[in-house]
Amino acid sequence: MTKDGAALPDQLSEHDQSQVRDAYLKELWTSARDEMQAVFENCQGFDRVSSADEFAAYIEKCQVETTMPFHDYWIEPPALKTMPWKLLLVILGLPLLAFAAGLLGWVGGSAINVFTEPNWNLDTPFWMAALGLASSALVIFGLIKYIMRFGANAFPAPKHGDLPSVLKSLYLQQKFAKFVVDNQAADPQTLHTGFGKFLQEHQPENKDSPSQKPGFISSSAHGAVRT
Amino acid sequence: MTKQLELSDIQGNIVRAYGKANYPKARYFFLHIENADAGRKFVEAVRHKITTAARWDKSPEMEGKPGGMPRVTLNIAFTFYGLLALQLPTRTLQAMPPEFIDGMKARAYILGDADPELSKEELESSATQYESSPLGDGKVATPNWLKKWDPIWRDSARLGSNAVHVWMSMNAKTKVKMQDGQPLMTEEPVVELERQTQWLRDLCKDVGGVRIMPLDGKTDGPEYQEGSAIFEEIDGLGAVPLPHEHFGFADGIGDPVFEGQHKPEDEKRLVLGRGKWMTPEKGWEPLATGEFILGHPDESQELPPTAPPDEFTRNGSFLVYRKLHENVSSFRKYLAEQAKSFAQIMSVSEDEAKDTLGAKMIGRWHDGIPLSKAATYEEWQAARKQWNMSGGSRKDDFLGMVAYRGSSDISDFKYGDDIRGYKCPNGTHLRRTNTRDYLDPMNQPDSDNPNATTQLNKRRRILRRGLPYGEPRLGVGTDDTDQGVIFMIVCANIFRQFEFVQQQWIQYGLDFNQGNNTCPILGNHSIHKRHTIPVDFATGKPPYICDNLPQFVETRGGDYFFIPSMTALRMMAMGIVDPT
Repeated sequence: MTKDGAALPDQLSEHDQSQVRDAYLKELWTSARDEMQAVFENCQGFDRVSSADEFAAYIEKCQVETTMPFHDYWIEPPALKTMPWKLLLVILGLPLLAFAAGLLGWVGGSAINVFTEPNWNLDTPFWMAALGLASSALVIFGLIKYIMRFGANAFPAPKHGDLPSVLKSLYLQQKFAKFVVDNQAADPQTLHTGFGKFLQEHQPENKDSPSQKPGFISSSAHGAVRT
Repeated sequence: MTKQLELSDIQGNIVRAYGKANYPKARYFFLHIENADAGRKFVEAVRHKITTAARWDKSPEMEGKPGGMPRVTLNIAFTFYGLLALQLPTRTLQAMPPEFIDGMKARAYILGDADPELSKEELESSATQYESSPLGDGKVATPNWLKKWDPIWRDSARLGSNAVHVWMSMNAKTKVKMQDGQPLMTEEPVVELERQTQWLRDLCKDVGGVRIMPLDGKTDGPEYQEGSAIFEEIDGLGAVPLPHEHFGFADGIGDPVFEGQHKPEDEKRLVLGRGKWMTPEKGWEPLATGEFILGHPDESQELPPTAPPDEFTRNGSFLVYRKLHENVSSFRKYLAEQAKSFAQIMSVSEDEAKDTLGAKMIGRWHDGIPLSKAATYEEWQAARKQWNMSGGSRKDDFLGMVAYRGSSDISDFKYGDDIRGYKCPNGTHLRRTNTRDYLDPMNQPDSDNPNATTQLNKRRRILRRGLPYGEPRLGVGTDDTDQGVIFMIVCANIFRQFEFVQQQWIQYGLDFNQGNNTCPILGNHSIHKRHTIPVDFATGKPPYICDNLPQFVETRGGDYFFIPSMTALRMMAMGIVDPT
């Protein structure tokens, strides 16, 4: 997983993520040290960086947590899970209600006791308010934890976002553009036959071949096509 | 409030396009300064004859007299190494812009002139090695991209006797001859042009230490680059200059208009389509002077930083001189080939297809009518009739075209109503070089935006100067004959304006949703060879893709120059440029 070019699983624990990041940064330092120095040379504290490990540690220190997804292969917005906010409101509402009712009973009862002296026993509303307050605090704490965990969920993998699919679509896009250009003035019969040949030759359903090899910008580059 | 410029301090070629102002013949000289003392004497002698931007009394009887239109113009500009040869203070020189110090050859990678398969490092080492090797020693091969450059630019080394230091231009009117009591125009330049050329030769001799550099590097080679409009012999008029370049398209139309350039009463008309579009209420306004002349606020409402002292750079500007060869046979052949399939797909005649394809690559029909105003062949024919450009005698048609060129109809349009490019394709030469309101940040790729403004365009404008060169007739040349355009650009910041347009808009297409495709006319077609013509689905026709575009335009060399103000010329001549 930390090897350069190795496939990444869909889900990574925080520890895994750090490992992958560090491995990437060390590789970056090893292969492009001069460029990295040119980029970061004016940054605070970078003068103490002199090895791949120190570089990885330096970047980790600068890391800012975001929820920004780092790929953009969604053709349509991903189906994100929605929070059950009505249920959450009910869970939060019950202890708050108990607290409010208890508080009202206790404060109201105390006032009546002072002016008309019926000497009501106010233990029940007092404990109701106290318990309501304590459980509200617990529920709020729990909800914050829950919402944060919900937010930290990974975005679902985009459809066709895996490397073989991306490469195949790059390949097909270029071949199809050429097919269109080559057949601009073709009559329907030629076009039909030609497209049959196109399907046969380029096999749109087959993700693996023929396709563009990773690391190439264009299928027309020498050695860029995997047959 | 209209801005008043010190026109008598500004060189005339910044404010006027001489070719358009009826100076269809030009000579461009390149000189080398051998020692600073001679250089200063030379500048002192030249500065008194410089054509400034001061307004002319245009009456014919004033021609050639002080205050009237000169018969021949004279302007001067310097490369960085020219300023160095004049021993300007280091403090002034070191604050000059890096791209100006680099010069055009060193920027070939950015401009797309170099072989695209070379990396920047490979390119720079090939250029430097070539430059540092004594000429003709055979040890260092000329890089491919330099082989086609004229010797004067190919061999121009920054230091040494091959360095181009000075650019001088002379633009001339043409003689009028009398025939049967009628004045007829000719294509022969007025005698003052040769007289002034002789004056320059004599001056170099008198001063000693400043010499005219032959274009081919040989001692008896051509001493100037000739520029000439294309001429046509028309009954009743004589030889008239056409506004066309050698591919046959009217050129130099949408030049920007800036504050103070024109008289307020002319500005209102000239600014339409050539300034910046503000709001529907305000309409078009002239661009800030500082976009084209140093020492004035630019479109960021700041004074751009310049080399000290301020009075040395103020009212000066920068000039890009670029000789662009046009492969006219390739262009004709390509249009004829593509017209066959285009005609078949669109069900039109081949002649109509040829005219339409050309227009859909350039953005204007060959007479200058923009696609944005006349998107189809029928609309174009109707517009030609309306403006009296067809159907009459050749003389009447020509005069119709002259009148049309003087109208604001030729440049007053936007792209907000044509975001998809059905009228004018998004990748045309016209849309790339002046994006107008197409790059408004609120524009969406698939819907029109009538409120779009020219926000991201107004800091990327360039003044077009220069003339075609080569045999001044349309349709006579081949790829191998010498013809094209002497392309001259004036702008306050070569990097932000000219180089940006060239690199991002001519040699790349992403801003126009054209991927890597380059400009169909000026672009480098060695790798990316396509140009797409979008077609409205409602017409039932498919879009058309021009493929396998050959190289239509090739750079033959050039350089970056500083155009000093009259004050600066005087300071240079007296050796009193003082940056402290």
